[in-house]
Amino acid sequence: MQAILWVMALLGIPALAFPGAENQISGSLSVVPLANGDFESGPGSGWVEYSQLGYPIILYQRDFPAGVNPHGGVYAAWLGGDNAEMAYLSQVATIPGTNPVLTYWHWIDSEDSCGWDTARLLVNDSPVWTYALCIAKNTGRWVKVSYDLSAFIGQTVVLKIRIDTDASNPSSLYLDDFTLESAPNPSTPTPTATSTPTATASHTPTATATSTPTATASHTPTSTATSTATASCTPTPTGTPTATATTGMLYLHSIYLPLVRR
Amino acid sequence: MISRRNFIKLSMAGAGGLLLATKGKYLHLAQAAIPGGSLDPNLIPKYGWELVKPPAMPSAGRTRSTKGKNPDYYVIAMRQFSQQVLPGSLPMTTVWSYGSANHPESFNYPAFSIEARWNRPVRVKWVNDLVDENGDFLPHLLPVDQTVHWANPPGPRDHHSMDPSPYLGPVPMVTHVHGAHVSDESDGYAEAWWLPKARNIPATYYKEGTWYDFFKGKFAGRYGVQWEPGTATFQYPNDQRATTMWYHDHTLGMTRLNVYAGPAGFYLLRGGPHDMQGNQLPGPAPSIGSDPFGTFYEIPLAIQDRSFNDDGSLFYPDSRAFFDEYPGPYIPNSPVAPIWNPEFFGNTMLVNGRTWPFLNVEQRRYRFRFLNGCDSRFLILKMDNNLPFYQIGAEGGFLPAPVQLSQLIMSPAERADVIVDFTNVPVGTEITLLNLGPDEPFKGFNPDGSLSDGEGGTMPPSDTLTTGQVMQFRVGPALNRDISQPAMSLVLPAFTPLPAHSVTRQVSLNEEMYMPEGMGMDEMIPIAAVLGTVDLTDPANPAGQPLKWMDPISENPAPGATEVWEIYNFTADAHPIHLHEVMFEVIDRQPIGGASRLPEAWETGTKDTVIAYPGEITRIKSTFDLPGQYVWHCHIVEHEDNEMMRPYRIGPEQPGQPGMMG
Repeated sequence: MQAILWVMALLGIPALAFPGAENQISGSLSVVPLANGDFESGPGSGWVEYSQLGYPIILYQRDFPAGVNPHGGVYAAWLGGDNAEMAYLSQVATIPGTNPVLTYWHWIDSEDSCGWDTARLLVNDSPVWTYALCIAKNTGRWVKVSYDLSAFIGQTVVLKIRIDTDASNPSSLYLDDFTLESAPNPSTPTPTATSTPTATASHTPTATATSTPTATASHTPTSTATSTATASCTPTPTGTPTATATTGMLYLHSIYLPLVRR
Repeated sequence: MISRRNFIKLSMAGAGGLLLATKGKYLHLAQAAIPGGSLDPNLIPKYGWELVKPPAMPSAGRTRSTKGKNPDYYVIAMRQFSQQVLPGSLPMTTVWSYGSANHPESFNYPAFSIEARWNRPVRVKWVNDLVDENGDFLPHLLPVDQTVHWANPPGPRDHHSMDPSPYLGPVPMVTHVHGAHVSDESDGYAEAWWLPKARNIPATYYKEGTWYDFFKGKFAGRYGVQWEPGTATFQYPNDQRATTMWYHDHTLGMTRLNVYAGPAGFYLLRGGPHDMQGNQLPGPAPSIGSDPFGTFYEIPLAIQDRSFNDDGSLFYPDSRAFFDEYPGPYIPNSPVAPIWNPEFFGNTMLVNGRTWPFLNVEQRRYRFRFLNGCDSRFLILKMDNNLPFYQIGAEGGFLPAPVQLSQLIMSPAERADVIVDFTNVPVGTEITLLNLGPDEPFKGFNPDGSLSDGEGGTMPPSDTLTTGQVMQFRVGPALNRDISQPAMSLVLPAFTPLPAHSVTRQVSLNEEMYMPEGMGMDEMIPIAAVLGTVDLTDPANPAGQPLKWMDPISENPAPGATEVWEIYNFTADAHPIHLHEVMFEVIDRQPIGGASRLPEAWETGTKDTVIAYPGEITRIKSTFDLPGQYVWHCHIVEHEDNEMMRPYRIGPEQPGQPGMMG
């Protein structure tokens, strides 16, 4: 299965932006909602929220900095925003059976040079996709990103978005509107949207020590789920070490164009 | 006094010491295009694209700790990117410039304008982000001469190197807001530079300049903010007259290159008792998020000369020989720097980051804030239909009264706040803004108004097909009623002259020459221009006492003192002299041994940069109110980079400052 994370490249040409240019993924997708994927249930619902420095993660719109509003609704998540931070959101999900894609909106907002602060998507605490949080990667707005989870079809896994910042020049990652999308099979033109069961909240794990090596004891995850993850719902992913993350591509649904149009 | 012409006239070629007269070369080249990179400036289409009106810089501050703070907080990074500086049919150009870190669309050459309000402090975290996407440092775009007195991160820090090869390491930067009344830790001192926070800085390199740590501690003590690696945070009180400032790099010994690569923008201070009230002046100006091609009646115009190569890259000389064909030997086998050029003149003209743009104007008044952003070039700007300029302001804000001018004489870094009235220009008229300044060092005017060659003759103006043209105005009908006031009827804000001075001091501008082996006195070549003091032992024959960057402080005003500085120019060229921290009044000019004359009408407000003509004393007066360590220098940045800059200090040495005795 071709792991496609479609890119659209921020062309890397910093210049005056021309708005618009929102690309669309192909038409018919079946959307598998994650538990509180849009955060509109507020904090403490569906997600494990962890901040090493003790910051709240899922926030009401007024708690965001000036100029930043939730992508949809009135709640979104804020990871980072300070130095020497490790923070994450996670929940357990069962990966649907046809071209499953994790999709969310992010907004990178960094004061750092590249090479120091990172965001990672982890499946069962193994990073499958790492991207830099730095000025060169700042999005300046909400951008839709997607990651192909075909390698995990049918499995119930722990999905985690984690950021790590170093000791200077903080970075933020704002997040909103997570969904698991099951794309139509390319060979079957008519999407047979098999309604894949959603992940159940009962599988939300607590943070494990291995995933939070620098966690301090003073801040415990605000897990509200009822049971801890069991081995059976966190199978070892097949072939998803960090190295393969580079085969995935980031789909950023926006484009910056240089100032050349007149 | 040795005439400058002696060295640009002559060049040495070959070991045999064959002399070639370059006077002919210069005259010839001035008639064609002046030398530059591989891109022939005559092949660049003119007036095919529209002027960019840089929007205002978006503020920032979106960390947990800055959330909810003072809204005038910025995180401004300096980055490398590509931009269409040449018209779209030609390749893009890799440049550097500033932008608001959190607003990717704000990175532009020239940088967006910082809009400041009177008495409302602006705090900027300046980020040197010259790194690639892996976090490794980016080398300089241009050839860096390591043998001048420069930052020199490999060490010895802020000192000459004897290595004649170009520097390929991480790039030091420090931002100076030119014209800001600001305490020293936020002024962008030439030895307060810092390297980017890159992953591969060699362990033995200095990551900051000599003064960085001292100012870092001072800022932390004053504002409770720690500077982070790869950055420094400066705060500007904006407690001065509303005016036009600009910000650019000021790193020791490499300002010419850092600024030429692009990073510069306007810093516009508005409001307060010394701004014009209401809608008397043409407006609006561009704002945050405004359309760069939108309709504005107040527009900043940064004029810069550049040269390019065929691939769109910036050209800057990579050898001394480009200047005068002096073939060496160079440092370490002579005192001649191998790469540095005494001056540099680009062969294209850019306005707001585009070569030869046009601007559609309506039949109404416009307010243009002109900046000469060139490295070495003096501009003499004139409309080809003789439409007048009404100058209302200079570096220190509004003039006492409007001045009608047929041309603007602007040395590097000078600003002119000008109203141009297109009301009665017929629709369809295309006006070319001409540059009548020279394609070589400016030496002043002859009595008939022609350019002086310094020897009683004339010097040709810029090449009429290239550097003699700047931009074009295309006149169309007014879209709405012009509610601004006619320029000459404006009553400008009250102007309070400085108090009487208590100290008069003499300073000097001098040329440092070198006579290559086997050559005669007439064949000396310039190796630096330097500042200094004046020996008046024989009042009839004042003599420059050259001092270099590393010499002890010689200008040390007491805090609050009002002083007159008499600037003796012993060189053959005009120099734009800039003092940091203060605005000054121009008192008069006087040929050495001659009679004094009043300042020009457009110099009757306050200024931060003044033209010191050759063979003359230029007198300026200022009150030095903020104690600390600053610089004064020539703003021909090639000169500034090679010893034509001096530290000066207001008040006593500061406890813990670098190099403190005892």
